[in-house]
Amino acid sequence: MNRAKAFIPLVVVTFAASCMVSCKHAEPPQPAPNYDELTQRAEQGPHALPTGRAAIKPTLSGVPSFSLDAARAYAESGRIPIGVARNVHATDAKFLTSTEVSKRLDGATTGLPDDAQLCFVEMQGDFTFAGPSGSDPHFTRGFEVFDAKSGNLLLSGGLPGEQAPHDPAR
Amino acid sequence: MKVLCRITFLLVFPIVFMVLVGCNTTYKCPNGAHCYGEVKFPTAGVQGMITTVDVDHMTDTGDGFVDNEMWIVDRGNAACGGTCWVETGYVADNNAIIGDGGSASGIDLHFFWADSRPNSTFIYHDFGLVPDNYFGHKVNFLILKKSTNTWTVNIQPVSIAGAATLAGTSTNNAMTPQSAEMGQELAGTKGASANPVNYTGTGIKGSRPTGITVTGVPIFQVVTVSTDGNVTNANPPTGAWIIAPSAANANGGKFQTHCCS
Repeated sequence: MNRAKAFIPLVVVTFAASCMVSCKHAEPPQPAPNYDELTQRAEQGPHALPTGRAAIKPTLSGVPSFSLDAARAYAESGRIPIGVARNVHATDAKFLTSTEVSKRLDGATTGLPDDAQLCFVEMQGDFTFAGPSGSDPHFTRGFEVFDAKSGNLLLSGGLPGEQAPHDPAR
Repeated sequence: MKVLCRITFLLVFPIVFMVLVGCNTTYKCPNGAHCYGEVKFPTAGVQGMITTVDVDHMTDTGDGFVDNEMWIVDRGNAACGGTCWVETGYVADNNAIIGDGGSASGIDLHFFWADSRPNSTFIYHDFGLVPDNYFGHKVNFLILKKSTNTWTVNIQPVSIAGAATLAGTSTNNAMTPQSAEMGQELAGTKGASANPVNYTGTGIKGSRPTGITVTGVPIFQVVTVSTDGNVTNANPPTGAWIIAPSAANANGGKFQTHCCS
């Protein structure tokens, strides 16, 4: 009987845990969003500059803080956000201003001042990226853009041109 | 005694099983067939979307990525290989879905936006690390049409001391979208995890004109969604309404995502 009593707390705890998992609490009323305020913030700022993600380790003093060879090596490692890069070969690498990078990307904005020093690497290979359901973007030309000071990866993606055929095995 | 033992076993075993199995979940979301826990709002001529999203922890130490985000989408556009879009959100990825097993940990979260433009590029823009002080707070995701070929993208911190808005602009993007979408995207086969996150106060621009026109073009306002849209729940990732927008006083509803057990 005593052993049976010892199980009672365990049963109670188990029921409590089950209830925590399955019981739904009443949801409080949802506040009404103020879209006018949010759209004004979008137009007026202030806005923070993008910082990117850690990529190339700086090894040189000053700007640029890394070599073009280091940028090529990083690009050819195939590490590309929200995508897959295979059989990557860096075909071009240059230190450029933000404005010059924008021109190479069909007018795309970098989010940085026009004179910011960047590193642009163009690649050939098989590039697949993510998107909304039903999309499946593939490219044979890709690129990566690094901050010439921090070595951080700021932009990456696919360049227009020949679209790679879809290969479900990728 | 035996009865008590059996009852206890029956109650405890499912929990233990769920914990053990849940921690080792696998899924099939390879490239070209990513999985979504999302809701789509088909809206002809949609000009933007706003939603408020919790910032909570996600990881992907496996072979893909997991994110929380929203999209403005133009499907059936041959100039984009079928689909043009603008998206923004936050992501945990291992930096190489099937590739070389690169050095990134998949633990850090990054704010991002991206676009796929007609006859042009696909570009992923990395805003930077999600700062530690954002966790437990909310951010507003905004994508709004600015002109015939320009879209404004924002991630706005909500009541986070010292935090500034992250902004991007999708230029040369004359897509004509028909859908506003939000939720969680999962890529890969293993190793992802994401805490429950709520999307609240969701609004869409493009369905209700203000009555004002500029050079003959009607101006629209952002209004809260009042229909429940089309929900996809791949499970994983899980996406479902906690409060349906069609409910009384829902103010855009509450949509929840999580992954991957």
